[in-house]
Amino acid sequence: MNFEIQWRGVAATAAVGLSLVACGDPLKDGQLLEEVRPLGVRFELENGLSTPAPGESAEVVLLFAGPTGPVDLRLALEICQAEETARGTPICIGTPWVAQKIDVVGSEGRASFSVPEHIEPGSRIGIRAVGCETGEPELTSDPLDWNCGGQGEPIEVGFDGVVRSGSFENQNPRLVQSRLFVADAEITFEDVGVRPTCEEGVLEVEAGKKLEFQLRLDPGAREELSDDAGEILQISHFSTAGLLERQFSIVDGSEDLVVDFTWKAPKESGAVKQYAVVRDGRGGVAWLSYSLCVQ
Amino acid sequence: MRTLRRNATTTFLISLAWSTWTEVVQGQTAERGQEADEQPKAEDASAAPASASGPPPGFLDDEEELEFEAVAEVEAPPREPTKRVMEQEQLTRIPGTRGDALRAIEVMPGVARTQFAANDGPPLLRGGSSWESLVLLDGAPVPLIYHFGGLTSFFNSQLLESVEMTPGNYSSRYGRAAGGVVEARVRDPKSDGFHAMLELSAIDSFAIVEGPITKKTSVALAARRSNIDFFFKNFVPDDAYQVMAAPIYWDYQGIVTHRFNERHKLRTLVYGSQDSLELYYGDSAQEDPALQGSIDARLGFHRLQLELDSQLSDKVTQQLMISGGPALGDQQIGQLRQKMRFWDVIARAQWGIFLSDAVRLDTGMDLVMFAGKGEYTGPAPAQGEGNPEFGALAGERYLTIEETGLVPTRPGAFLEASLRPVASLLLVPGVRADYVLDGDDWTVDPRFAARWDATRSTTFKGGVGLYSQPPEYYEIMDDLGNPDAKPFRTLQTSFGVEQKITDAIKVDVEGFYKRWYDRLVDTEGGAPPRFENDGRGRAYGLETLIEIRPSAKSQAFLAYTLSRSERQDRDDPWRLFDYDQTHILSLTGNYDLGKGWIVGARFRYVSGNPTTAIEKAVYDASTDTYFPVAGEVNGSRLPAFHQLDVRVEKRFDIGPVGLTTYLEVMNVYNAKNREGRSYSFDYSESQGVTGMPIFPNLGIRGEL
Repeated sequence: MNFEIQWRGVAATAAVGLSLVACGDPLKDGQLLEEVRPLGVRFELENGLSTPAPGESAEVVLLFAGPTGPVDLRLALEICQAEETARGTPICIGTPWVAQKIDVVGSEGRASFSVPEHIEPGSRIGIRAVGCETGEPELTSDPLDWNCGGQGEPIEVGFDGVVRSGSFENQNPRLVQSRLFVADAEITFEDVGVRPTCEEGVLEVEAGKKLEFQLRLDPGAREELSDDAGEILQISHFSTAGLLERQFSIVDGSEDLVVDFTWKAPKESGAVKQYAVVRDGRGGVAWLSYSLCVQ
Repeated sequence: MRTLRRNATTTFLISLAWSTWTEVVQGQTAERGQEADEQPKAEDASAAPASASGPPPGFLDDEEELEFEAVAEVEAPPREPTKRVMEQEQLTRIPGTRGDALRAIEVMPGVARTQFAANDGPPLLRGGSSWESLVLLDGAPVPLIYHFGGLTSFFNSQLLESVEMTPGNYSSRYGRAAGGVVEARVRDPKSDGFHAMLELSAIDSFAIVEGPITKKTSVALAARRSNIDFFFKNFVPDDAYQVMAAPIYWDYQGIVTHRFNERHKLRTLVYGSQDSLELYYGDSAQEDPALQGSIDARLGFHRLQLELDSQLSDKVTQQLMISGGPALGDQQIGQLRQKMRFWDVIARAQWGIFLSDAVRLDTGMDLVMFAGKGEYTGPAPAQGEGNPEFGALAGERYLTIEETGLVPTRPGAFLEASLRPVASLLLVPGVRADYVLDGDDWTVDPRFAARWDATRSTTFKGGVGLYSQPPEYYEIMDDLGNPDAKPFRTLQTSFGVEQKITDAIKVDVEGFYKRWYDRLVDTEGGAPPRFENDGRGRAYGLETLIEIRPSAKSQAFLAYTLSRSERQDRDDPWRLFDYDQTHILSLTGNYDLGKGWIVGARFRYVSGNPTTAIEKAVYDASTDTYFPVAGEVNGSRLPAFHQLDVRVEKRFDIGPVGLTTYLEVMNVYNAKNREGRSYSFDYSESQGVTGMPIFPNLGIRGEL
């Protein structure tokens, strides 16, 4: 009998470290927005919760961005009760509650839905979406067949939420009082739909220079789960140019809500937009964005 | 002419009645480490009570007068169609294995290639998965076979007498494995005086001391520790790797053999092993937020094993074995956590009953269980094979199992007859019954094997039987698996011929066909109940072994396997097995140049493993990773693998001290063998990943 359950990650990482050697040029970097990509999805309820109850209405918000920041897309979307699968894209049980096409304008797309009364609390909510810069998006049961009507590459998205129950409810991370510092300067956050510029008020940075950032998250970004620990936050960093130190930062449940990271400005001058998407690991998601001017 | 020493012990004579006479060598006993009056292991197929009064009637007639003093060395006659036996001196000199006995069986046919340092489980035999093979140490299954990644096996090869590999159609004496059996046999400590051995190499170092402590008792003690962490920390620049693994392992062995008298021998083994893995992340893993922060793994166990071999009467032998001890398994990666603390117990009792010169019965029972507690936070376990790229660990939904008591208990019993209606024909029908207490399942497996010595140099052999394997404990746990999952089984058949060309050259050709029923496979997406007995499989092939042994220290093997192994999951189309390797060719040789020089080489050519193309990827907005969407599972194949390993060894004798230095170079011509693909975060770009580059290992060993 084997007494350990194999984790591919451990074996694979050990193998990488010990013996396997990747060959060829480096693969593209996840923090750099080289093409239009989804960055996050969240449920929004009036009370800040991310967990709608049976019979309750909510909005689903999808965030996209590209090499120049905000983007416009056409999106096909399904919202449904999803099977309790362990991995992979959500698999709908029965007919989706919502199946519609929407427009993403200035990076965010929104759709309203209601959780049917008969859905059991604690059930999984699945989101399946495909976006197209050109062409008309089309969803099918098999993700291999999602398409843009033959025009352009489809941008496919899956997301899981949970129907609120007596034992589980969750807030989206609150980021209103978050602050971002570069050296002695503070950067002002802006709406994700704002195009980056080098207008007055945008911090100017020297081309090619490596800068140290400190993101101080709102104390409400993290819910307490016990007396001595809160949610573990995952912060995803994205930039339209330059090189961020890493794509992911993790703030443990007992750590200060502070994230330090570096960014090396590109050698070319121009406006740069960056995003920080915060996930609480329990379905709660929120995001910030800001601009920098490289001179 | 047969020359036998009548007073040596008639054990050998009885053995001859059951075996193919292979060799009579005068004066070689000491060199091979077997004393002339030492009874063979009762577990050997033909072993008979040492006090038996003589050869079976009719086997040696009166004309064969036994009047010379000599020593007989007899191969244990297998009761399986094929059992490949490699002795310690051969095992530790196979190039490319670092002298590791269990790694050495990879030069045999029927064993699939696994990439260096990436398989820490049992070998893959005859188109089967690693977990379908049973690895035993003197009859006891072992909790861990190799130190991390499969660098070195947990038991010092210098303390092994032999390793026996049965790729399929194994005896009813063992069970709970749908594939084959590898059994490592521990040798007795030397009793002719005190000996010591110290070996230093780049990868690990060990020491052994052994000798007699009374006239009837001898002891061996050994310990080993890895050196890799030392080299990593002191000689590899911090920024040399994004991810750096520094495995630390150690193991120890103690053997005490006590002979009460000619009829009873007690052997006590104490052994243990611990592996610690530290992963240093300079930054986060770019593609997987779950692989962030410190990553620790610690696996270890300690075992006490008692073995009592007895002759209860002239016609009955008995072997009792009990093995047990604590084990631990901790793994942590960020939020993922796995912790196990338990004791395992393996017990075995078997009796050999010699009813007549033509009928022998073997019967017995065994028990495998462990009792302890475990807790788990991580992804739902998935079927271990046939899963293409899953994507990031972060993209999986985690399960949490609070501390839970576990007592998986699996008793079994067997009955096997060895029938010789005529001296040249051996028929071995058997049956084995196993019970899975934690799953409340019975299995009954009938098996049959036959060997026919058509001439003194030609033997035909064959076998057919059922082989059941229970689910792993977690596969039938609530939440993690399916409590209703049943054991799966294979039907194994084989037929072959062994031909002795000369005393030094043997050829063995065997075909096999294997069918899997009720394999445990994932449900779609891993949804509860996560596993179902809804898989099938088939494998067939031809194995060829040409063995050349011109002298004790010179040997050559040509092993070639032609095979195909396929699986069907649910109602999906049939696909290739993950390690389906059409051609497996291994050429291995050692040559004794004299004056202490021994040179060796191993060349391997193996078809590339099947691989699955990633068609596209879907963004997982819950974790900011991508789900890969696979195309046809194992629909294409990696390029073929080829590698040459060499070993040069020189022994100096300085008074009572023997000093051996060796240089082993793996992948001498630095072949860039493709072992897989590495993907960008969104799977839109990929590049090949190559296996181990040229890898030298220098060592020195001193023996007293």
